[in-house]
Amino acid sequence: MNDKELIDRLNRLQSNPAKAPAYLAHRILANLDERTTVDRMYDWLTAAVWRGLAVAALPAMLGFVLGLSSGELPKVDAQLWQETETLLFTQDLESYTYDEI
Amino acid sequence: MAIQPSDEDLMSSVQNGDQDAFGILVHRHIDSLYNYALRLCHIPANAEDLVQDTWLACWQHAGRFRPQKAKVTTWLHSILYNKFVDTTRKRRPMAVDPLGDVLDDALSETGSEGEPYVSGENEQKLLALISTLPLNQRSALVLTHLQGFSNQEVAKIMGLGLRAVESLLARARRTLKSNYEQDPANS
Repeated sequence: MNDKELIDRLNRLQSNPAKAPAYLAHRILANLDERTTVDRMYDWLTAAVWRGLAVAALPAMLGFVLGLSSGELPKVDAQLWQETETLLFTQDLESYTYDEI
Repeated sequence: MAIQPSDEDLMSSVQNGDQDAFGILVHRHIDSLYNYALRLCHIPANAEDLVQDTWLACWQHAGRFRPQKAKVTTWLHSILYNKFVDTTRKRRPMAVDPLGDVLDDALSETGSEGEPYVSGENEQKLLALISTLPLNQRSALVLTHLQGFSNQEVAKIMGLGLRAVESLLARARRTLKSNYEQDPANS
């Protein structure tokens, strides 16, 4: 038997496949269980890397947004910041001559 | 005439929990999967279990199907192949006489109504010889010649490179020819 004969014979088998018993499809469909919400969430999370990363980064993002939205600095911090600015400005002035100013 | 939904459309519905769409997919592809399963494991009862497990996995993990990566049939066959490999690994190693029991089983294969699957004597002999091939060679050969997949699709199903599949096919054909010619009835 040469290669061509073998391939011809193999391809003949393709046109004569075994058929599944009729009850098999019914058995499969009857035994189908409902996927739980957890299953669906797991599938969604594991489907792409970015989804997992996004979910992991969500708490940090939330904290950041809440921090930004809380608005102004506390009063004590604001006063300290102003004093520091004044001190820095004074030091700056000292480094110039009278003519430069 | 109503237009039949594509496999990809049906899978999309299955991903949303549509059992009717799943039923259509099952009826559309069950024969093909059963044929593959039977050629892999020879025993009809085991093939049925394998096909059932495959469809259950398809239903439970439908969300993992990505239409841009593979066709539905390729994905289903890859599930079946992986399940068969897992089952074979878990079982104790069996000392199989390559032309003994397995050959007899394959030669006496019958359908659910007791009719032989393949009528010609030569075809039955060939199927019997295929059943004696090593697992990966058998799978590559069956997927290519009996299931009609391209080499690239076979590579996806078996998780191998294209060159590895071509090598497996060449070895499988060589072994088949050699075993066929060794049979005194064919000389």
